[in-house]
Amino acid sequence: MRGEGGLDLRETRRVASAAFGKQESPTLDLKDIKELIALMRKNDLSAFKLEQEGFKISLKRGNDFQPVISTALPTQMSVPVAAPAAPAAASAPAGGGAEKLKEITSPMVGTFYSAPSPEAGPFVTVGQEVTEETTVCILEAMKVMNEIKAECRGVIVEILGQSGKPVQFGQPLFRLR
Amino acid sequence: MAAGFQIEDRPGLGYRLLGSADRLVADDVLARMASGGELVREVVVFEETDSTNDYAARLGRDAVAGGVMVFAERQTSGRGRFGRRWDSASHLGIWGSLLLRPTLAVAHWPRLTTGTAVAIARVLQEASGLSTQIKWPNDVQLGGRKVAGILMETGIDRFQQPFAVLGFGINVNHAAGDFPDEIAALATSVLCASGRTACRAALAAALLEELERVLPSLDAGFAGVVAEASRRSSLLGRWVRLWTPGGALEGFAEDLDEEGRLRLRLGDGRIETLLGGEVSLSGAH
Repeated sequence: MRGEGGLDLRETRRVASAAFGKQESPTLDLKDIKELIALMRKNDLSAFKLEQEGFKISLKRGNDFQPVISTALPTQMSVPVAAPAAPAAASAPAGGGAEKLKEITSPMVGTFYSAPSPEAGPFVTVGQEVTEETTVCILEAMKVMNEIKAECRGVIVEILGQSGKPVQFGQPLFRLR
Repeated sequence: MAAGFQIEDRPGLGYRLLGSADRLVADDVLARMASGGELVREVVVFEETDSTNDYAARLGRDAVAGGVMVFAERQTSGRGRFGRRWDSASHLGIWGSLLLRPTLAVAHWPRLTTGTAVAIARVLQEASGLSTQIKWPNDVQLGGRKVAGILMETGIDRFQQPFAVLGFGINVNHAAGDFPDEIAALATSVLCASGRTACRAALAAALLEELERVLPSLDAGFAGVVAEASRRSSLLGRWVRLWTPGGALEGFAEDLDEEGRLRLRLGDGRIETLLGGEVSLSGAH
């Protein structure tokens, strides 16, 4: 697979961690967020997530390439909230109504495989109920086949990963109800 | 003749071990290891199993601690990636899988492929007296033909703890006619390449010792492992063609980066950093 943008992905992390290291209460100012978005666009990343104690940011890019930002900040922290560039509607897919869907995102850069071998059936299909333990796909990097578990319960409503295609860190692979 | 050992019973004098057919015996492998215990705490040898990787992965899922080395003299469904059949001829090679719980950060587990390739390359060089090459990232070659392959898999057990299964297959005492026709032109063994028959138990023990040396260095000492993989690479400095999930790519194999990924310089000068792919050397032979 093409590991394109590997360096820039690290740059993305560097920007984020530099911002986090600025002061005791971690925060990102608008400039940092803009820089992250620019890096995501440059690297064609569809999602970026970072979680630290008491702070969580997740950035997603929609199909129109307009960045969509949702931030979840704990109430006890007095963190200046950067004005989001777009409404925080990233986790609800277009046309999904009010229904809240869960996502299984890629924990790594790799190649997505929906089945253990080309002849075998897929690990999961739409409509299937999964538990934390269910293997949903394999991600390959450097000839290492990594079994990925659902790590949550639900019913698969959408399979976003394409078998044999590269995926980026944080890229949504499945949607669950 | 248990496990292939020939034992002479001399009344009044006791027993005398006369020698053995080339068998892998767990205690024999362990006894031959000078080091031991830190990485490999248990050796299991099956006369036959479906696939040593599947067996070791089942142990992993059952939350068994790392350090179990599973060998099989014969695999009924030995396989490479995606269930591609791996021909594991009975008693001629070393087919095994090591269950590991690496302390290395999970993000760095792909380094295990590079580390294992280096360990196998060292051991086979010693056994054959010939220099071994690594065909990035997971094949070891003697004289341009594949002598060993690596298949690593990872999973998560019921306590949410990750494990790795380091699978490898090494062609040792195959004669030319022992390979199936479809791979005969691409495969070799220690015997075919060097004319030397190797004791598989000694080779297995040497490999486990080498893994005990190399795998702990994948953290701080990984640059040295990448440097050795680069020196042994049969790709670097050549024009190669790769099939990747993103499509076919052709370019000059520039070097390996700090994670052991291949950096390919394309025709237009751009550099692609690759995590994998099927490689063929084009026009370079």
